[in-house]
Amino acid sequence: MKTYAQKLLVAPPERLALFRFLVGIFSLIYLVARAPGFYQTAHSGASWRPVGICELLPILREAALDPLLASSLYGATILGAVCFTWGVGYRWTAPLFALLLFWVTSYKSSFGMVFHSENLLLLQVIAVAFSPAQEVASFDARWGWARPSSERGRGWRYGLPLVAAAAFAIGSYFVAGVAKLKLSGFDWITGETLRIQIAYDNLRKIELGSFYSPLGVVAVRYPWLFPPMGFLTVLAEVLGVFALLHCRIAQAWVLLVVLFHWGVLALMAIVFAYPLTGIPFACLFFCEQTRWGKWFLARLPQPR
Amino acid sequence: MKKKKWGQALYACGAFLTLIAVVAPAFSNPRDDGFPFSTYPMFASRRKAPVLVVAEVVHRDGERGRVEPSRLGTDEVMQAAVTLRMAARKRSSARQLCQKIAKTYRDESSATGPGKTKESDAKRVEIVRASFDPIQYFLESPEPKDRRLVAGCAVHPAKNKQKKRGRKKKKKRNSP
Repeated sequence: MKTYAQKLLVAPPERLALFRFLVGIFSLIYLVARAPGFYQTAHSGASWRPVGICELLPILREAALDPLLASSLYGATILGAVCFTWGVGYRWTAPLFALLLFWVTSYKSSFGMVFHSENLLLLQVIAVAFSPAQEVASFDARWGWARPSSERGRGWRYGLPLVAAAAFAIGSYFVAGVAKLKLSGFDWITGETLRIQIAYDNLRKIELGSFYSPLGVVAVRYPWLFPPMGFLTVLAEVLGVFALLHCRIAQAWVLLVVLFHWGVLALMAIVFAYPLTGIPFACLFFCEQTRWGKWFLARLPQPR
Repeated sequence: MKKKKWGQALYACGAFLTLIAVVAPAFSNPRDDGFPFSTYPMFASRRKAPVLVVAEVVHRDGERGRVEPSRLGTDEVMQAAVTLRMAARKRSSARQLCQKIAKTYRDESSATGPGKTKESDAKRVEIVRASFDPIQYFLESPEPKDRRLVAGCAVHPAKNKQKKRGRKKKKKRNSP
């Protein structure tokens, strides 16, 4: 009997194209919305501590880029997101967009604070950027620059990028769960560390003059809330690999993880925008068969 | 066809290696964070009595308030926290940051006029190191367990110096 992962591996090109579109449209909206914050960071003059690609490349390692150049590269990344989303010159623009996104996310985390809200987005963009995600439902397909042949059809060349994207998500949450167990051990599962974390995070926001979560402040007064939350959080993070065994397990896992992020938003006013939308987990399902999947695919460019 | 198969094999290798890189941090020290292959240490630590470095503004009426992250050159509260923490390591850098924050209040006061808004009423900026009990903060009192001044500076230093000189002259005239 085939495992769920084996069924996911044999995918039609529409599923990969739909995932490309979802990841791309999120990237585009996110980059546009975050542009003012990036501009502020580029002009902040804060101390330079390069990470990611800024640490790897000598030309980027020495100092922060000139703010005008940094802003221009950011603009180019937005343009890359447009080409990635709608599959325009995809063979060249998609890898270039992945590289630029790597730079944007590295740059933002190179001013003393490493952010963790963009890792999964970057990894999944990379997974899709080097795949044949433009063969259908793209401008490349409409203009005849790419098309699936009747010989290819459904196959693992379309399924492997989706399974890779799913594996990156499951792997990331696994690492987060292991970190919690290593640093706090049993205290995390019993909820004690979680209660203190929520209290500390809101305290810090209040003391730093920033927006905090009133719900989190109230929740801290009721210690009995935290053991089930702590237990379910660690369970969801560490056991995500079982989502590849069966569709129902995948659904339960995704529900737990998305609820976890909504809980973080409600109790700590921290936004992990990408997983909140559910988009990173679309690669785990046969989305092209759903009503909303068909709706999106019908509206994407089709071959004439 | 052979070229396509090579391309697919290359992709599979790349994906596998990337997955190794994603999962590998689980076997290293969680505090050795990186990007994009992170250990995701956020929310993971026990925080019994955390020490925070905060920036406070003292108004003319003596009321104290918190300095918003935007005055530290960022809209990200975590980045503001790191900026303060790093500045507080040395008195000179703390003083420099204090003066940078004071300048934002000074510029606002010049633009709107003194006393027109709460911000334009700012008299002094202080960088403070304080330790808290996170649970007791919300259950009993938000006062820190311990509070130490790292650096302080006046928002309008020139006016304060003139006032001090004026007081000194008055003292000289009044003295026998």
